[in-house]
Amino acid sequence: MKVSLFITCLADVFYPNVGISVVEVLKRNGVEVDFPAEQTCCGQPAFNSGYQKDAKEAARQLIKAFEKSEIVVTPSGSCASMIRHYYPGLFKEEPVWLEKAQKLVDKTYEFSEFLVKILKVEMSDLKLPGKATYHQSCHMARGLGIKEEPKALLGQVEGLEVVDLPYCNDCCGFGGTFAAKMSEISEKMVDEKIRNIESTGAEILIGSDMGCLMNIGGRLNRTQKDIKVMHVAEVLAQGGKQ
Amino acid sequence: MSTQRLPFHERVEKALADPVLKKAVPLAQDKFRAGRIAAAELVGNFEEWRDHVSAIRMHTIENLDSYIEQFATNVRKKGGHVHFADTADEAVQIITGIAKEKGAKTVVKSKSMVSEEMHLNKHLEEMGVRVVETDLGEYIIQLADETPSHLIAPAIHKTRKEVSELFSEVAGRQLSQETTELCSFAREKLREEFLNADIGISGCNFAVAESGSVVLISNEGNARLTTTLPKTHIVMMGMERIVPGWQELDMVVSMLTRSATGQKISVYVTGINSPRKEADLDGPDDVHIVIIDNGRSKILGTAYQEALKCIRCGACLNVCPVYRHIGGHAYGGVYSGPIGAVLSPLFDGYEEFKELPYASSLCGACTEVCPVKIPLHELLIEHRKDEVEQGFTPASEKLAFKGFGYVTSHPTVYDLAVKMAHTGMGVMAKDGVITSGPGMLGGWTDVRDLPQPAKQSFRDWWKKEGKDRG
Amino acid sequence: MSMEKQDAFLNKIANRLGRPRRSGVRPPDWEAKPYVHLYEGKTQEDLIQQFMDNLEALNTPVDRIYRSEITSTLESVLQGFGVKSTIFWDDQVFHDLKLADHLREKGIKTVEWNTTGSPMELRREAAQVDLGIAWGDIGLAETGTVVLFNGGGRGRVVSLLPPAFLCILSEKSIVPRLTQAVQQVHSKIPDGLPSCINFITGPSRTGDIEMDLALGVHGPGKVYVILLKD
Repeated sequence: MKVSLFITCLADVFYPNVGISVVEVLKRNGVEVDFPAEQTCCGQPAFNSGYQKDAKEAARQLIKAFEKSEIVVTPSGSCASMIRHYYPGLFKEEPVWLEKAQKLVDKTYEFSEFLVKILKVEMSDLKLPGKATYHQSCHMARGLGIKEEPKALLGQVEGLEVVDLPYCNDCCGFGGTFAAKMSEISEKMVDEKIRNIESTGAEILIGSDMGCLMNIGGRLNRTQKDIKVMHVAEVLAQGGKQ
Repeated sequence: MSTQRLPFHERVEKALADPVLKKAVPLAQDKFRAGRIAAAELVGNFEEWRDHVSAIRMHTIENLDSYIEQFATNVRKKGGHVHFADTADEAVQIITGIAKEKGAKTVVKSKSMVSEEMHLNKHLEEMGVRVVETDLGEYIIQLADETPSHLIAPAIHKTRKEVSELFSEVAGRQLSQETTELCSFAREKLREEFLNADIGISGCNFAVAESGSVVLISNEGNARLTTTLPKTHIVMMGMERIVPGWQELDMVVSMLTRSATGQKISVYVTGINSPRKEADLDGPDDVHIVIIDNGRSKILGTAYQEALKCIRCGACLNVCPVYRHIGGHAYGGVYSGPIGAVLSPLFDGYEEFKELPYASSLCGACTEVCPVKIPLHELLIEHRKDEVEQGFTPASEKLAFKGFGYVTSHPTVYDLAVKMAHTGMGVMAKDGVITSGPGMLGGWTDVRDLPQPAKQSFRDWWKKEGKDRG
Repeated sequence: MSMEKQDAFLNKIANRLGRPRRSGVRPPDWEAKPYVHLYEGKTQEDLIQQFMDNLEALNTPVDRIYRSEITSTLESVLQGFGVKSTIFWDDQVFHDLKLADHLREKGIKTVEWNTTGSPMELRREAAQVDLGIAWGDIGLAETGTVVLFNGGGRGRVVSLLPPAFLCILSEKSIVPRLTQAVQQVHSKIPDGLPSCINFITGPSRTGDIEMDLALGVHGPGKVYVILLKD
């Protein structure tokens, strides 16, 4: 099977190790990976801020970049949700592009979703000792309906104890530009999220969206709290090395 | 209709600094959330209910002229009076006109959000009519001279200590902080008001077109007292509150109470079908129904039309993480939470409420619970789009996103930007962490650190070694 | 109110909806019936049990008795609620039950809500007595709701002003849920609905002070239901 990786702008620039981990995990599960270099950003920052014309420019580029791909996998529930829910609407008045957009929608999967639903992986050689909790991102859980898949994958890692996170349905306060525009509200949200994370006694916070993790991790850093932040792909990749 | 006094960010600051809100709102949210979830589980097929009730509401809104006409005809047939008010001012004129005609000295009111839209109490008081709010929560905030902070629990922001102080002042003696004592004082005091009032003013949860009935839902019973004891009953009805028939009423009521408090049904569901009949020994002689537009028709036929499906259950407030921290008043309008953020800019314009559509992380919790399936967070995105198109966003932001559009649609430029990110943003970084930045970045770094862009981006790693590994 | 105002109001709605005025629209025959599974397969006995369980969960005792047992059951209601005076509907069902006689025998003050009294005097009484008694025409199993058709001798305030409320109904009138009750209401429309219909479920309640549940803030804080085996 051949898969094209949509890295997302955040992971590309700030968290390349997430992408490297995705490549490793996919490869270990017998998947061939390519990286179409023409890809940029899904356009969500502009779309959610109301700049739909500018978002459309980005979307058009992404559609073009993956036109030849059979399957697209991305380590972000939020970006996958952007494509799935809003791309068709963006192009509703351009039939040719609407069709192309729909094709991308149909072949795009979030990382955990792909591993569990399509590849149906059973990994037995993973090991990573530690106590962790999982943060479900809103766009992944509500937008894509993917809640259990990442946990199922984490369950395959020996030694990793994953504790339920109280109030797991509540947003961490990221929300893209919301975190910057409404920083005073966002601060209270992320602090409550961190209180809940701390209440689990976890040493590792695992997530599927680097937006949320950049927010929670950034606040953990600012408040000098010693909780490690990892993407599901990083856990699986690191677990494979031990 | 806005009740805001301070600019948005000052209202938010004030709310965030309020120690009472900090405790009270999450407590109320948690109770309401648990109730709703339990009720939904008990029903089992909640999604089917949501689809059905949404379809009923949509059908009604799409045929609103016909159903209002049917409703009005049936009300008149049975001796009720129907008034139409295009604006808040017209509604106030109609109601103060009735009060004058009846020589009213005291009005008792049961909860009506639509009356808040026009500051009805203030207008009545200005003409010398005493107005007494009778829903316990509304009574508390009336005494405190405040506005409701939640659709169904208007006084969640008040502590028992504050309530005790407010009630003690009215009583002229010191009351304890015990719920039972406070409630029995309210019962006694308000009972007196009910028995002496000249007019009862209520809202309207639903109006049934096929029989011209007004349906009121309450747990306390104040809506019943308001609509039974005074000789005149005035109903203030938002024009979209209509359902075609009793069959549809069953469905919306079943969803409303479950979504609001988690109750399978509220204590009192009262259908008022006509004024007192000749053989009746109680009930009002006159029933006046004021059907109010006040900005609602502007929403028809627009991308926001679905917002008119709202049945005012408050479920979206109860799950909203933003409401959780700022409470209702910070929204500045009559309606708060996600539905308030959608409605207030529609009613009063972006000039007054341009920030509200951005007071959401777009987490979608509201959309997920809405019993009538209003796509709340998507309507907030729609607002943002309209604000951009109508020029309500800063020029610098416009420019930034124009740049975004350009860079993301030109891969070579994007490539270069990614390459420069590490060094470019490096000037702000120390040990790989950025702790303060300019412009919008400053909003981010006010609260949290930002990592310095990686020395080697993923795309560079791919070019150098990934290709061979893929 | 002139019809011109109504027409202008409705025309504006039609305009906004981008189509000509509509009139006489009736709802479609809804295919969805998401409520059926809530009572499918339940026997009348199941429904009666469900009705009773729901009320008991709402601090509302229910006695299921033969008509012949009414006097002893009344005794326990009166004692339980500390009742010395009552007001009740002037209704044939209560005449048949000899309700007034039973109460008087026990030395209880009785006021009947009927046309021989002046409305203001009746209202004053209703506000002072300890217990109001009304007949429930329908009972809803799913919620423990009693449905009261008010009008004439069936005063609204009887179930509203006194601090305690006793509802008597026949177990034959227990239906699965609101759905069946609204069907009955719907079928009465051609002959004219009573001026007021009340669906009552347990005692008056509020959570407006710090979400702390309190009973009886406006309506009766104590409710008792007698279910007659018929």
